[in-house]
Amino acid sequence: MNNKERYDKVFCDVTQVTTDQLSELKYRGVELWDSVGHMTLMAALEDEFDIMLDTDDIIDFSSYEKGKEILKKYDIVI
Amino acid sequence: MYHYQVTIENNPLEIYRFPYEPVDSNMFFLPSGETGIVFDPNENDELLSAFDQHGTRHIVIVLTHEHYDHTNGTRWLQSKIESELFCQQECANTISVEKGNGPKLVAFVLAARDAEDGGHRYEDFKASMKHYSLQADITFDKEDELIVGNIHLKCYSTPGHTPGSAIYLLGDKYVFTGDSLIQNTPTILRFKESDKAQYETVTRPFLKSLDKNMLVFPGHGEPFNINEAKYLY
Repeated sequence: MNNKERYDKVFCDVTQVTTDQLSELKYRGVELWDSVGHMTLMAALEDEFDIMLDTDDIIDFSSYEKGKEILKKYDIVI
Repeated sequence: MYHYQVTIENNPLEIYRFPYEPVDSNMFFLPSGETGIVFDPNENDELLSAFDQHGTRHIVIVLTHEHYDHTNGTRWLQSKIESELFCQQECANTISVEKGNGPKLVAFVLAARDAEDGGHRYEDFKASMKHYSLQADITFDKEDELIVGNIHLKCYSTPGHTPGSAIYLLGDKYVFTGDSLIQNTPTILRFKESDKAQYETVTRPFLKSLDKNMLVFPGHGEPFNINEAKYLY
């Protein structure tokens, strides 16, 4: 899998949405992306890409698209 | 600080509760002679005053699980008094590395509250945020007993919320549940480290088997009678 496929799979697994819904997906936009789901999502991304997200980045990670920008800081290009 | 007087087999025992203000998690202190037990330490000078009041010289630090809001005062406390650290084995594994004690969850919860009301909790928390690893001195797997002074705890592994979650029975009337049972909130089983199946097959049946008159000292909030747990039965 390439980075985009890995990124999408983490989102789909945690939030239980389909890939066609991802581009518009935002924090609290679906039931499973609440505060608990957010921490699960962050932990899953850290594991998937072997990174440690900074606390400020976890707080700024407000949408699927915003997450791509944030991961660039960790040299992960989606 | 809150103070409770309980009785174990006709012997009086005092229990102190010290909430950790950012997320209302509980530290408890049970003195016994010159020793005692402290559950889930947070940094609070009132605890040191209680040590002075009771002549406490040694304690056992007991963890209910491995989350930051239940461990963040451990190193501070270890620097203040002779102590041993006791917890479930999986908990010990997790806290032995810095990543396992991450403050990110607490930080995010506070930032989310700030977003709702314009508060500054996150900035305040960030200034005091700690990064640490911890080495347990004594661990247990499925169940064990811990005797400290006149205090006798029965210790049970209760996975679900986290792999290292544990519940501690004090006599047949009192139980310390950590986040495995909170009165008005469902136990969170959606963290990456959580295991809903383990909670449903091991922990929930165990909790439901306890005497309905048992008083729960939970990981967050005030003590309550176990039959008042909104999401247990």
